[in-house]
Amino acid sequence: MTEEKQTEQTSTAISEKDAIARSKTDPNAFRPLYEAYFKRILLFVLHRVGDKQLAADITQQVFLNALSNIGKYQLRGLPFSSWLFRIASNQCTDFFRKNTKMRTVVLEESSIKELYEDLTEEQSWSEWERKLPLVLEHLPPEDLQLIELRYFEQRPFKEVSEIMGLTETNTKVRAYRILEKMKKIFLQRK
Amino acid sequence: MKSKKLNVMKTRPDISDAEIQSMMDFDKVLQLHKTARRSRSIMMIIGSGVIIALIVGWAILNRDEKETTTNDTNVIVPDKKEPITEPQSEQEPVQKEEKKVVTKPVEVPKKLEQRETAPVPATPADVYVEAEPVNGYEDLYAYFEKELKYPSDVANAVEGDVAVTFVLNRNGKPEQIKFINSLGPEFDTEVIRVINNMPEWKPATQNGKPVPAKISQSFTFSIKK
Repeated sequence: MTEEKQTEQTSTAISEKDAIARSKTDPNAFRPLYEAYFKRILLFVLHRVGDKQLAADITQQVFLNALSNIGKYQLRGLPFSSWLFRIASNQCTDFFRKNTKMRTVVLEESSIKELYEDLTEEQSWSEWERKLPLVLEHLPPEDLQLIELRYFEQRPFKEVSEIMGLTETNTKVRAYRILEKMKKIFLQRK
Repeated sequence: MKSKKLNVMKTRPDISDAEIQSMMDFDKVLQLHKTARRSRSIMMIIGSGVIIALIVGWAILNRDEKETTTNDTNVIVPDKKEPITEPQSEQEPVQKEEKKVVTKPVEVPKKLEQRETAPVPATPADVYVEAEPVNGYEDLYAYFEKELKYPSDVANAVEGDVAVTFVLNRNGKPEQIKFINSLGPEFDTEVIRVINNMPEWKPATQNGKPVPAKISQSFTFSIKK
């Protein structure tokens, strides 16, 4: 990392911290945070709902919730981005609980390769590709969320734990158990 | 799994930066936030109002209850649900009037002390006046002291109290004498004699009309040394 990049990151962190602090008393100060994170949150939601307009509406709701609860956000706690992703995740869960719309999962070849290696290399790749959606359908929403964050979106365990509100160790243990469960389902499926 | 739960996409949905830009509308978020905050404030005001109203209502009710209790202690309401059922002359509801008078030695009558503290009726609508001796309690106690004699024909000399209740009828005459504590037939006879010959009483009245009143009294028999 060059010195110039490091300076840029530090100044971004300071301005984010400052914007969060000011937003607690002045909602207008939230604008730079909205502009900085809108795209990431929109894509996060879009990959789960699969519809652009719906994703835009949910994203607006995510930022409205964030602004309403900014007073509860602790600067020393989890990163602001993880806090926003957690709100977005809860908003999506809430949406699917209240609506009959089908949950979307993006399974790109590059992103499912790691899971293939971790789960079963005994099966052929084509078999794996065919069975994976069926196996995922057997998972409860929370387990699917964990696998999606860790493998399909390739986030580090630390961030996954922050978004899901778990400890990092617990996230790893749960991920292991879910993979074991998936392996069993995988072998049972024809 | 028969029913399909997931919509699987092989590639990420394509969305351009221009599209994302067009979806951004912070002013709308701000406006919704202000509306939500205003609604919350209104709800809080309404909630606070309801709580205050409940507290005030409770306080008023509490005060009314206290006033009612105070009034209850001031007005002596005759207990008409307790008629005397002894198979004697008048089967009428009577007033309970607790009296404890010691005849020997003569002391300041407890009844007098009780009367001084007796509450005054608060409303003229239901005024009860207790029965009292025409010549006053001092005269009555002097009579008891003078008239009550230790029976001469008692086999075993005993000392103690004879407690009785009797009813003063509407004419102020004693009747329905009942012994609560007896020392023997000789003592009972003496007490009956003293009660039947006692000075005249003014009957109890309720709203100016004479009503029967129940009196409790005790007589102390002691051997003079």
